[in-house]
Amino acid sequence: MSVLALVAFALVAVVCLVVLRPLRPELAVLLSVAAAALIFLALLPRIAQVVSLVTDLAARGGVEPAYLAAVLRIIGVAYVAEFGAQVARDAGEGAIAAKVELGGKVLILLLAVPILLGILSLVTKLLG
Amino acid sequence: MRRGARRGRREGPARRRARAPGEALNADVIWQIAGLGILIVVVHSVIKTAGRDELAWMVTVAGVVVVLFRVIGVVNQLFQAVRSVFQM
Repeated sequence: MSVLALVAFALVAVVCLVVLRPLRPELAVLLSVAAAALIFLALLPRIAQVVSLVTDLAARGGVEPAYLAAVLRIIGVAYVAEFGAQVARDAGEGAIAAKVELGGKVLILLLAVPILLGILSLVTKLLG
Repeated sequence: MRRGARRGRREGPARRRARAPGEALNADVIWQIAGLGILIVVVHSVIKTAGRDELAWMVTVAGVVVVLFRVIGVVNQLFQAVRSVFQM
């Protein structure tokens, strides 16, 4: 997928949205959700390439695989939470969007606990 | 009329299967939703002019539900892909 395909797709979606928004706002919301999901879906193979690159680098650098898995999971949670929050905000529900973002932050914090504990144990080992 | 409806229903899954969940960015879903929206608007206004307001409302709700199911399929695809990429 080139950037031209991306922009062309976005133009089509935007024109359809502009036509549909005043007529049927609820369908416009669904259309924007579909457009966002399709763009994200088309970008995911590239993201997978980046992820495999990072995994390769981490394996070369001797990073512990558990930490890398946690980081990848955190990135996934961030992407999905951002997607949900944008959809909610686009539909005019800023409160729901804020709650989705809050939930994403809490889940990310929970996922980061093993890394924090690892840093803490390293620091105590260095000090003591 | 009944046969036509049945044929229309049979066409649906076949077309959906033909639209492979590939990596290319195709605007089929966008066109479908936009076309269905305009169709709903036209049908709604026609029925409303005929004086059957509750039927017009039902048509709108049915259209929204149909589009919702279509979008849910796309979002489900997206979530599966995200889960497989980030090993969640």
